[in-house]
Amino acid sequence: MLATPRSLLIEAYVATQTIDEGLDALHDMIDRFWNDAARIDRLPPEMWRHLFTTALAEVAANGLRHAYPMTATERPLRVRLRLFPDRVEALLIDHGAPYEPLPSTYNAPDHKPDIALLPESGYGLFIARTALDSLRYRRTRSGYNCWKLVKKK
Amino acid sequence: MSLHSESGDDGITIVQMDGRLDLLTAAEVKQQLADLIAGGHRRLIFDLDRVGFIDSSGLGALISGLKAARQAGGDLRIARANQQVRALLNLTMLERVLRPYETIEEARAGYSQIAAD
Repeated sequence: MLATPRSLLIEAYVATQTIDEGLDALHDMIDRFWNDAARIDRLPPEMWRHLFTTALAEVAANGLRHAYPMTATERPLRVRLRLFPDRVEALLIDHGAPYEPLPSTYNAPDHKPDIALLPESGYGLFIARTALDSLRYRRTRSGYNCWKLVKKK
Repeated sequence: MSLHSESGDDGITIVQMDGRLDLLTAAEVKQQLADLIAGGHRRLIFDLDRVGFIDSSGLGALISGLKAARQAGGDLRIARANQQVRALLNLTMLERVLRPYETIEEARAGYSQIAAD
């Protein structure tokens, strides 16, 4: 599992029927990753890890929910997490329909926001983009959706 | 998944749930909060002690509950949020409207001040 000293790679292939199972597997994987990472490197601060985990869960949930039809009997999701001395990267690949991420429409509220005007949805991509240093999407030639998440230490 | 709620003599209802508040549970939480508020429980404290993780959908459910409670003349407060939830609120700057209280007692004390005003 250990590639080189102070570098860690964890890869998982999740093929589940329900989004629930997919998210459970993802959270288990993230927990394992941080536990393993703590053995070979000094972990980034807890808040930093929460931000990365939150961004990863947003992107994964998006893929599990939107890439496959409601009737899908399998929702394959490949997740690769890598810890480098200067950053953490995640690669998420699903086999579903192409997805064109829309620009986030969420704007952080003013000092005294009008609560009645606060949106009840649309926070996902804002959270992922703001929590990370880089979030990229591409559709591969072989027909996969591929997301790359990078957060520098 | 279901919310557990308990109302006290002070008219404050404590709401609790176990697990993740995410896209799988958010719709149900939103509905149950709306039902509570429609039923007259407009001063709510959502105890997040046993909520391990909140995503954008869960955040939306809390905002929905907050808006409904405020429209009914009450409020929805959150207490005992973990570090992940605090990171999420800080990132979205929604801690300005959903202040995470350290304890249930602190959240309750805030209500008492409003009542006194």
